[in-house]
Amino acid sequence: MKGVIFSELIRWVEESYSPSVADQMIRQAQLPGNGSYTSVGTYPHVQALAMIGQLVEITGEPVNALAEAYGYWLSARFAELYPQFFVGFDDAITFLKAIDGIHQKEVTKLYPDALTPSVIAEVDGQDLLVSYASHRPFAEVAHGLIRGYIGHFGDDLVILRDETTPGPHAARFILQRK
Amino acid sequence: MDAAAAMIPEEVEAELALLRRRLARSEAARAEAEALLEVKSRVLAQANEQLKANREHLRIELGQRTRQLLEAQRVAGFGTMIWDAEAFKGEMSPHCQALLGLHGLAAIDGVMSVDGSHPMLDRVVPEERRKVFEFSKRLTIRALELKRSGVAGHKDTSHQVCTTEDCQTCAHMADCDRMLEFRIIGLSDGEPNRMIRALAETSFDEDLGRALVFITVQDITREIEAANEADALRQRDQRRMRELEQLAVELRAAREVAERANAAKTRFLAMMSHDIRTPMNGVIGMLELFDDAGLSESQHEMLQLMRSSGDQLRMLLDDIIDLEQAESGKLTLAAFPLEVGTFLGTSIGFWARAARNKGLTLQLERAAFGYDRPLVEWIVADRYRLRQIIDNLVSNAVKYTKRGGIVVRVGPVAENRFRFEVIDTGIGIPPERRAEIFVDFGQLHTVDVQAGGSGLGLAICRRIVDLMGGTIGVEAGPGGIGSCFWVELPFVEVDGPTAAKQKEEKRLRRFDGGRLRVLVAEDVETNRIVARGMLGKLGCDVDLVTNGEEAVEAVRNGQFDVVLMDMSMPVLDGPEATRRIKAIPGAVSRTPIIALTAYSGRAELAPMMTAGAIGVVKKPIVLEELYRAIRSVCH
Ligand code: HEM
Repeated sequence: MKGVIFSELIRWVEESYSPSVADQMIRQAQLPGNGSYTSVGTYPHVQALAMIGQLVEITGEPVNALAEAYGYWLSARFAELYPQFFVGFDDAITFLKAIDGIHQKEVTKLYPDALTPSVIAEVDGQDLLVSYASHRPFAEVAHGLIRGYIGHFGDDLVILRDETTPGPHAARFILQRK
Repeated sequence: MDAAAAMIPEEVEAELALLRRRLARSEAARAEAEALLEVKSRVLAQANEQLKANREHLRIELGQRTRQLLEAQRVAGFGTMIWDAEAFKGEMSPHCQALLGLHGLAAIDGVMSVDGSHPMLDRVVPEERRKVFEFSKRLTIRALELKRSGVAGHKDTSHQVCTTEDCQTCAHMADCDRMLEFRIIGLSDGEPNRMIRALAETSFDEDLGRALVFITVQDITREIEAANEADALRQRDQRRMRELEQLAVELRAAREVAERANAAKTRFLAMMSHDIRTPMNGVIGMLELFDDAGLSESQHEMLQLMRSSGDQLRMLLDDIIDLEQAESGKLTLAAFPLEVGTFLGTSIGFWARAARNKGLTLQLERAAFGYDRPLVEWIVADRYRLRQIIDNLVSNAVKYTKRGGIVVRVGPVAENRFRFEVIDTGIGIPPERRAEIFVDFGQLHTVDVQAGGSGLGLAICRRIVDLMGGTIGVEAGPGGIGSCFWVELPFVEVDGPTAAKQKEEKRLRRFDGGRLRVLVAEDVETNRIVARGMLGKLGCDVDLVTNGEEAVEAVRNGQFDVVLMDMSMPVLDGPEATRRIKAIPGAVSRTPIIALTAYSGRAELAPMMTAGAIGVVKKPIVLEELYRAIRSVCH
């Protein structure tokens, strides 16, 4: 997984908790590179899981909530880091419908070795169904990202979770107008 | 203080350690990023190199392809132009520029207007500028329409059907004419105008997002010229054909007129001849009867001259009538048994005196002609016509030969075909005239009057020989001297009568020794007198009657050995009288009857022959013929 996800994770902890919590999380996770990540590098995603695991230890908060919070925070960072991907989009639904294309075309242009997840958004009557699937267990991060972009574009949408879809590797989100 | 000081450094220490670890992480990350960057840069530089190489390769490739394409255009004789319908900009291939006479003008732009000056329109002859302008306007609008409706893939092609499946546009395209032929001003001063054909294709290029008109341009001046030339040639040929046909029609018409005129002339001559015969009969007959005794030498000569003139006149009349009959298909043949040797001997012997008088020899020879069996004795033939041929050939030979002599050779050439040749030592006939001498006066320019004949004799001979299924011809005589006239005829052999050959005798007697009694039925007095005179010369007793009824009565009551019966007589004509005589009971009905006639055709003779006549004597009566006719029926 691309280094940007790791470096942003550390940055999120430093900003949301404190540099020392981040330092503690990194030291306790006993990472091979001692937590030095560059956004252009590529690292095993288990290191991210290890860090979040230590953050759960340190803060005592549930892992899902932490992952979702990280996703939410990350959505804004993406908007700062990659403003070019947001050109021409005025609402969350249109943006989410385009995200699979952005992942596959634009993200891989930037990071040729990126293996982005499958994020398919389709209109179902009044609703928008967003299905996430990945070999990595980041369904909660996805949740946070979606929530983030609804907020980013200021749409009046609520996110319901399709509970029948199992586990962190796959999830279905139903976006409804309030 | 110390504690605080000690405490502070402890907290600071921790803070510093944290910062140091963060710094270390950052530095490590930066080092890693830089290392990665270097790798990336190298890869990028390599890729860039590769890219440049690729681009260069493509550039060369493109150049080659373009040159090939342009070369192909030059060889094929067409140029291309691409017109951007929105930008009003066009590009012309070099050959296109050359064809239109716009050298160095690869790109043309600007809105076309008929009145204003435009480099391309200026090349078009003034009267066709509007046409070209309308054409390009139509195509421009068409291309823009295609873009507006977003019909990508569709191509309005001028020379092939659009291959896009279910193309929505094609339905509306039929009216759009995409080919234009127009004239441009000659390429150099004084050169005539040239003809250009433009084929256009409008399309909307989705990738470029452009409305395009693609035009091929071709110089078809020579093509048109060739077509025009071919057209002119065809028209000229047709005209000539019509002229020839017209000529043929005229010739046919002229020939028909000539043929009709010729036939009419011949008919007229025949009628005339016929009418002349009767008075001629009198003259010739009287001359024959005129007693030579007691005449002075000069009177005798005069008489001879009168006689031979009369003979010639008679022959001329006969020839004319014969020819008319031949031409009108009335000439027919009789079939009687004939003893070849005797017949030829007599026929040729007839000319012996004439030959002797000129100091010429005249011989009859038997010949083999490549067939070794001897000629048969008796055949079936038309004695009169055969004699006519021989008389003609032999008399000519005598006439045209001054020194030497005449040989007649006869013999078979095949089992049932015989040939006779009349060979003279005369002046001969040049090869180029040999064909024409057998042509009758209908086609001949001059008639040989000088030599004393009608000039028709050979023509009549040819007609007769044709009718008999034979051939006649002439070639040079042996050793190239004189002429050899030859005739080949088919024959049918018959058994001849066993009667011994009769001795030539001018005195006709009955077998019992007495004089023959002859009845002459003839309405014209001159003819009666001639007949009586001749029969008297032959030593016959003669009775004369003037019509058929009197003839029937005379036969019924008297004992006649032979009857000479004129065909056309008042009260009762020849055929009817003959029939009645044949109907009389008893031996008198078997009295032989000889027809006397001015006609010589079989058709005219038929009524007499069917009525029962068994011989014919032609008028004017010739002593020799009369003798032979009577002899053949009475003995
Ligand atoms: C412009 C917006 C976005 C950018 C630039 C972006 C970019 C990326 C990148 C670079 C990765 C790392 C992939 C790798 O290294 O293999 C990633 C992963 C991920 N993205 Fe996005 N992303 C965007 C929007 C979203 C949104 C809207 C979702 C919500 C569904 C999403 C869901 C994820 C998740 C869950 C992962 C984690 C990897 C995984 O699950 O396999 N991303 N993204």
